[in-house]
Amino acid sequence: MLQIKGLYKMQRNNKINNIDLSIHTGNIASIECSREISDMLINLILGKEVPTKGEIFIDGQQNIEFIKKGLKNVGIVFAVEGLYERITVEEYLKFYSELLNSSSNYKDIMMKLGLLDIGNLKISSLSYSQKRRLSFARERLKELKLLIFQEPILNMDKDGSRMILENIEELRGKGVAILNTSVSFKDTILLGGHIYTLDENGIELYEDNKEEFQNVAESGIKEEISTREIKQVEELEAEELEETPMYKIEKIPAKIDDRILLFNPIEIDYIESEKGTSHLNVRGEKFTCTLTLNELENRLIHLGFFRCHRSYLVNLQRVREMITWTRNSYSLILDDKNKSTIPLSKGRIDELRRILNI
Amino acid sequence: MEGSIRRVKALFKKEIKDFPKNMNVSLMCLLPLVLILLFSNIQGDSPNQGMKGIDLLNTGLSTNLVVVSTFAISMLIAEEKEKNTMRTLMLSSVTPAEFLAGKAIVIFLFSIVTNTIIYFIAEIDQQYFGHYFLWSVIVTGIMMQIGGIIGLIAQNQMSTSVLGVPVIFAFMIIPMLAQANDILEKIASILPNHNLSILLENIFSGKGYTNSSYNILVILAWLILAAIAFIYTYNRKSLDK
Repeated sequence: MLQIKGLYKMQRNNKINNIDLSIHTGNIASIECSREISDMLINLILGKEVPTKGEIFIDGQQNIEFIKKGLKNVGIVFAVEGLYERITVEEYLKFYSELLNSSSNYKDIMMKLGLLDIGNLKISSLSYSQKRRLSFARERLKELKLLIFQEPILNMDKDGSRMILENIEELRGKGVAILNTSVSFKDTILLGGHIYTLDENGIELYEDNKEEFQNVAESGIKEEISTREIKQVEELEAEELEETPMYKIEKIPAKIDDRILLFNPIEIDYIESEKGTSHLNVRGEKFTCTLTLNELENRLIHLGFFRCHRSYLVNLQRVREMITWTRNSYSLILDDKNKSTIPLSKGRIDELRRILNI
Repeated sequence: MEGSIRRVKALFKKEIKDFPKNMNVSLMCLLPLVLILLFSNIQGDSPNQGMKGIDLLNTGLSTNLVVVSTFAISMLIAEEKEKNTMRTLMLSSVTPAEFLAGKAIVIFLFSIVTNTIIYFIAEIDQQYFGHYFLWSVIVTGIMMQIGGIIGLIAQNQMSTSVLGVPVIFAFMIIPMLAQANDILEKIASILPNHNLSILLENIFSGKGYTNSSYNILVILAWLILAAIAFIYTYNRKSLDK
């Protein structure tokens, strides 16, 4: 549906460097990138800016040709949008429904996005989450083939996020190609589909979810083996302890410039790995750690840490809540300082249940 | 074309719904009416006489032409730019022309209705209404195009005032002071609204169009020039970028 070939564009401090991307119908691509780059990418896709190099195709046609015929099939929700603040939610959707000659009933869409009960409220009195859902509802009035969504769930409340994720999933099921962009890596994982990181070095596919599900089965076996090994090691250590008293200290090093900080594992809320670098999250702050996530996992697994996602290692003591957004996306909510939400892989849920005895 | 009419209709309906709630613009649009109701009831030196007739009509009409026809439309356009609502419209297959049409129709209707009310408050002989209606509509068209140009150039509502106040001065104050100063009189003689009031004075006094060929010429010249300027600005400041 959307195809980007060798796209290159340099603008002020932002650069889109030779990227290739294609989203087929019924597929999702979630891109982690800065807002500026996201804006630039959307402008390029919409033909408002001309690329220095490369081509963009929508539905097999050159983007400019496609857009000339009107944007009836392309929905775009920007992170920052203007709404007509003085009219009500229902008036707004009715207006767009008439404008687009929409075949879908706007009341159905209001229901799907939880706007039915606030239909008579003025838009100016809505909360952030309600406004975001209204923007999405407006785009759902179109006969979508491609949906571009900037920051679908950033800073959204829990119910709002769930509704947006459900609607995205429903659209995907109907064969809409979906492009999400977000500044938050966690959000892109939650949004699912093919996950990319886009920066000045180009675009990088993070992982294929399908592959991950296959790997999970294997890694499950491996982990069983490793826990067995650990038990053996512990037994050995126990034997040693009887002979010579020994202090077992586990400290996790983090680097700031040329200093090395040492954290107690209990202090760490969770550890995130991005592009091969691990970041310790301690009391709402991030510290870079020189160890890889695998090494950290091996060190911390017997201290109650759990690999809830390929890129996340969580301190189970901090987990407050387990959320099911849709059939394919799950999250853990921590009771740390920021009430962080971190992704939980579908394939690791059973193991988590087993560990927690639930 | 069919789609175009449907979209303009939807935009128009939205404008009508939004209009009373948009205090900035709706209060401004009521200003001419408030003004002439006030003037027509002011007790002068002679008892029971407020302002009447051609003077009242001219005051009301020139306020309406400048404040409603020119200023209000530029504010409506600039507001959508400022609040980023125009972008969403443009991404919903609305063309800039349809966008402008939706706003223009509202302001046009409002201007004409106000012009008509002013005519009847001023208690001018009804036999001239047809002439009055024709010429006031033409000049309303001119002023709306000027307003449209301001709206296209201004990036937000604030800058419509910056650009619009000189226009108010030029079109409202200069004709008022025309008698006081030769230069001002010369300038006034090429303004469309000033020529409109001279034209109307001639018509109402029963002279018809005999002495008014210059006034008519100026008005028609403005109509053409304003259209050219508007189209030029419209092409330069494309709204959908």
